[in-house]
Amino acid sequence: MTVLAIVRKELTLYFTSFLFYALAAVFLVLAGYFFYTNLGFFVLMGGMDLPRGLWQFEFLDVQRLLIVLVPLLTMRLFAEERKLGTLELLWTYPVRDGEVIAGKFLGCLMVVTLMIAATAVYPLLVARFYPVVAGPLVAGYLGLWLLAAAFVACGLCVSALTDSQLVAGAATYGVLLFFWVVTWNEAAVNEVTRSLLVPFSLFDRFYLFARGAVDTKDVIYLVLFTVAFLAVTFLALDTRRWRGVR
Amino acid sequence: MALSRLARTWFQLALQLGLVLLALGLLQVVAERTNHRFDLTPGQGLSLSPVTRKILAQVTAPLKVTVFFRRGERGTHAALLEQFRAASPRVEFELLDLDRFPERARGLGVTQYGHAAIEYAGRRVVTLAEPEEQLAGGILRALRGKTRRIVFTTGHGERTPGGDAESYGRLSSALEAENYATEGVSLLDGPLPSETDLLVVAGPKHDLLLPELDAVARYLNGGGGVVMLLDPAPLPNLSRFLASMGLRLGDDFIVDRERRLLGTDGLAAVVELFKRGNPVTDATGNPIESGVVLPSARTVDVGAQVAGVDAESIARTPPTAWAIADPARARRGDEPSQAKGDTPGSASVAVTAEVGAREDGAGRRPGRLVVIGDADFASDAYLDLLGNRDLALNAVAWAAGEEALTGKRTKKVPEVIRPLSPLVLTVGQAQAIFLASVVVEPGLVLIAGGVFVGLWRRRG
Repeated sequence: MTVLAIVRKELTLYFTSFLFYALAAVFLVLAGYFFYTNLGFFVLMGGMDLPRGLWQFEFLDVQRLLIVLVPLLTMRLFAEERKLGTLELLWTYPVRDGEVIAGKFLGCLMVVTLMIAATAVYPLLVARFYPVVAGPLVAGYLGLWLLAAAFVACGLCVSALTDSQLVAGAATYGVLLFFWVVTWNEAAVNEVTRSLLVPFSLFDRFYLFARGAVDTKDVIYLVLFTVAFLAVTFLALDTRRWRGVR
Repeated sequence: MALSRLARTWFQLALQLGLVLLALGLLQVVAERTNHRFDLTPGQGLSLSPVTRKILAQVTAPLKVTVFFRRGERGTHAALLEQFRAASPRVEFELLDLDRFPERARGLGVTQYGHAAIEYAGRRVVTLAEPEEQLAGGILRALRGKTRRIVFTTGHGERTPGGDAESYGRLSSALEAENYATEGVSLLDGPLPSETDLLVVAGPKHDLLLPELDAVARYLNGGGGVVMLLDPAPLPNLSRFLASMGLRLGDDFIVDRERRLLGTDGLAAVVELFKRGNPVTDATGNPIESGVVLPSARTVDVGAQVAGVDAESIARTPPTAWAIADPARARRGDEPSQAKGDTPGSASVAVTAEVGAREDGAGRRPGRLVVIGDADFASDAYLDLLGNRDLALNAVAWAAGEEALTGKRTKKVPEVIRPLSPLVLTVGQAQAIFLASVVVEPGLVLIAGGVFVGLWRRRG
């Protein structure tokens, strides 16, 4: 119940802030524009395969938008409360650290889920003109949602380490971009280093989802990525007891 | 004292963090080794085809694939190779940047980007590393140790393995990927080349001469494989040759106006009725579900039982089809009429036959014959319509005694972008989509959010 109360509080904070709607609108404008250009590309030269010629590109574009969007939503989770002193107030309530983390994580994830769900309008638009097969869309949206959960966990963790929203946002961008581009420049690293880095590449993990398939190892990687950052968040909050800080 | 306690606490934190990450890492290692893939694309476009799986099932010793990729293309090769390794634990692979390992590539006989060296049982084969069919074909060549030989007859206006849209260029490429080498030979110039694994008579416009048919009969009776793809045309010698084995080649033209394919002239026959359990149209567990299109078909059926020949019809047209007695009338588009000798109803268009004893003293297998009443379906223009490719390649594989290669070859849309799309939009429709996705939806969110926030704040 405590978790639900914290989720409700987080959702209230998001939905009563005009900034959230502005962010959501920018996200949808960009996602919609990408969809329109991807659709144009598919109509002109996309081949016969809708998942490969259209949805793949759309999912890859939306995940890039998530990298930009999620840190803006997560940076305030702990940093703002710490700055305003409300976090100290929260600790005076009979709540466990795990409940606070779970509540904030779920609240933010629900908001991001809502934004991702808003992009489901695009398949509905296409379905008016051409048969749309649900399978590849299920895979793509599952991948996007797992990726969003991983991003939120990462942002939550970074936010718990600082009282500056700016630092929290910038550091989250840094961490996510590192995991994103870790294998992009194959020429920059030797084969051994590359083989060690490849398993950590978020891009490589998401690519199969975007193409319309689900591999259990990728699902588990994204879940464990999320769990790892939530665990680090828990340990980071735990340090306040013996460090004597808020 | 206080400092040492603080240090101890930091050490405990580091230890906890390390243990958590180690546990999660181990879980991921298990996940990597016990993974399962769910392909949700239509046609299972991201999974290995049944034929590739059959080939990999024949790998009984360690097989190593070394791919030399162009920088930036590692991911696409890795995805395919991981599927191969998942299908066969004996497959190992290594991905190397050709620019970084040119000596290693030369040592394995690779000089181009995107090529793979396949090593198996002391043999080495160099092939394209993708698409899947090419790599699977390379593995098959490494397994077999030699290329199989297909001879196309020439001299009667037959289809050639390359050229215009009527040619068999794409079929020939597909056959090469499955470890066959094709060549054209005139049966009048001499005996069939030694080690001929299959003889193909592809769409002769003129009849074969009796000495040529004698050569075909000798080859067939000696345990050879023959595939005949015969368009509607007068071929009396060939008809008699087939009749000697109890097969009836109709001098007619099949049309199916009721099941006319969009964009066709109504002369094409769509074939969806296949005899269950035969290796050409219904290889075990992999039937040609989509049907096949025979653009200009004639009937081929089993007419009579002949001793030493085990023949059966394997594909029939739907009951809506007509066999028009005069092909010229069909081509003119005349309406079918029983009064003019046309025959309504389902008609056989493909037969298989085994000729000779199943086991003789010399250990030879019986000759295998496939006759399909159409040659167009395997041409470049029609090969990738519905299940045409599967029918053509399965016929070749069975007649050549390569049962391992019969089955469904999942349609792989090439990665290259092609200027062709089934989705057509008018300018007005495109503008409506732009407005809905870029303006209306975000605008609604902004307006609704503004109103809600305003009301919330006013309420206090």
